[in-house]
Amino acid sequence: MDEVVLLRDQTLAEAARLQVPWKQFIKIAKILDGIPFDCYDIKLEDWLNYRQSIPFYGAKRWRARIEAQYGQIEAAYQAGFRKIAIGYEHSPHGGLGKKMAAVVAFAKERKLETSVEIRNASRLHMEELLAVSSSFSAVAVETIAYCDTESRMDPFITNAIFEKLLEHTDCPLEFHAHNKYGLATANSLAALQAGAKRVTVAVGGVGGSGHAAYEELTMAVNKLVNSVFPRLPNLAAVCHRVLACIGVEEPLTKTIIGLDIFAHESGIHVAGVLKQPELYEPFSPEEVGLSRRLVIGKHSGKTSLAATLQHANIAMDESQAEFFLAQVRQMAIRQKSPLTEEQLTKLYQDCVLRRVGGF
Amino acid sequence: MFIAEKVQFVDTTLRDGEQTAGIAFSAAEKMAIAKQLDQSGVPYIEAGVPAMGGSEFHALRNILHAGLNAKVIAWNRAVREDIFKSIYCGFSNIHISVPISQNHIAVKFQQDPAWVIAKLEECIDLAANYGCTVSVGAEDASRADLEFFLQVADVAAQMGAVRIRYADTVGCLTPFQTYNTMRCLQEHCPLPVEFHAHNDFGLATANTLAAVRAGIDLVSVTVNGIGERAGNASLEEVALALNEVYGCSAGIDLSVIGPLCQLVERSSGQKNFVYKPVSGERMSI
Repeated sequence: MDEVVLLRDQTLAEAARLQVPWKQFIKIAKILDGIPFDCYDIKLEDWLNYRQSIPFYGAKRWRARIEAQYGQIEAAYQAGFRKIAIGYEHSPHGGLGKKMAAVVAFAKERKLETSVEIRNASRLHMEELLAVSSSFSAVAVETIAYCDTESRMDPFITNAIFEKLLEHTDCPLEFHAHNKYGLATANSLAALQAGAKRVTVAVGGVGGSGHAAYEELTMAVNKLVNSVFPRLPNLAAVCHRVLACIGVEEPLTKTIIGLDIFAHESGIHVAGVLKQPELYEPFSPEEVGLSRRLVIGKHSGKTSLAATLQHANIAMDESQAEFFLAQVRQMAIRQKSPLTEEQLTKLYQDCVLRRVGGF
Repeated sequence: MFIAEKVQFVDTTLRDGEQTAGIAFSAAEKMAIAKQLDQSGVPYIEAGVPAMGGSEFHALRNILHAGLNAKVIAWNRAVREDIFKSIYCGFSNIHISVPISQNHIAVKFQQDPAWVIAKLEECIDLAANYGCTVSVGAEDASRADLEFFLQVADVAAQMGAVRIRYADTVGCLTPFQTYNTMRCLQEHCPLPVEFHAHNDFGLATANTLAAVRAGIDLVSVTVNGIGERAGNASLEEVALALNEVYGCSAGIDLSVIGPLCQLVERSSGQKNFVYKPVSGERMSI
């Protein structure tokens, strides 16, 4: 994996599909521009339902996903797109057909950078895939995208298919994973490991059928398979802003970027992390621009309690630790949320200090 | 492919899932979730940690008396007092967890691997003397020597444990690494292996499927994938993926997954990401 990998963004597509307020869309486009994405896909139909023409800065890198129709090619051109990806459903019995070749030729005549997407790729046998790829290579398309539209693939199937396809196809290949069952990131990683140089991602994996999450794939590539994707130092913050602009609430435990993925509560984990964070963290919070915190809750151990009280300049009375722990647990269950430092110190004062006549 | 015909879920929503920072189920919620897991066909429910005492202890005791079909399991450290608490609570299915990576053993306990084996022997012996069925958990197995994992498995097998959990504690395995390791264990491990994934890189479902592809038929899951940090392998994703991508059954009634996910969302106070596969609002099947 030494040649540069090109990422195809699907985040903008989702924003268009959802018809987010235009101001928010512009913000998203601006933020995404700062991420090393190679191109930005938008379904033409969604775009025309949303706006009539693309902003000037989109022409260079926005790619219209269209059907194989002359009218759509014309419409994409009129809207300002200069890159298109033509959808193709291969029928098991036929070849490419004259129509497809003609459509591609028409698009290229209009000086559009023309790729194709095999929409039902994951339903085709290897021989069919090779034949289709070969035919498209012959009409000189820019790239051929293998779409797992129905989320039928697993990493092993993806890897095997891409190894073979890459060996026998001159034309650059793309992998477009969907995420119906939570396998998109893994499948995309597998495609990269087979040698694919173009994969589809979205921030947060957003999309009608989901996509590989940009943040997951970036970190998996960088930390797990000895390769390098360019990385943003403030990855979490960038992704948060994009998701906020799309109008989705990101869970605190969202992989890679969730605000609470470095929040440790359970006694064993806290005790470990205080000694050496790597015991329970596969990467440090600083790597994604987040920070670690200790949470006081139902599963806290005495170490957390002592550490948090210490932070408030109170030395915990060890002889009362068990009793205090039980009080903390009850409070956490009652309020169904962690205790703040203030709540913890007040509880200690109320339950323990008064009990032992500390006041 | 060595895919098993049927996979069995070891659900740990009520234990590892509840360890998510900030989640605290009430006794009533634990009972409701346990019952619904049972109704959905989950065969093993790791219900919690009796050693925590107090209301947790009582909640677990109630679950044990609820007449569930599933085997209800208590989680323990390799600490005698933990085991006593579990037995006193009424558990006959005991899980004993030991860290097996050099780093965990040295940094957390300032001990060596021989000490871990000794603690494990002591605790399995204790549990077995009370007629308990014991499963062993190998914490941080994915960063430990495979040889030591097999040594721990040998000891556990000799002492009568029924299975061993391979925990990818920090979620750092890739599907290919998972497959290769599980293939090796299928050849050499004297006990059935349960694969326990974490989702730090978004690979928990894929790693779990890779384990199944290698022949493992016991997997840890939590509803909505709740759990430490970015969570565990999500029950609903794994169930659907096994069914749709591998044509493999986990014995789960897929029609009750929706309500189960919603129950855990409400009880945990953590709403799923709208784009979360299977149980996210925009992705619901």
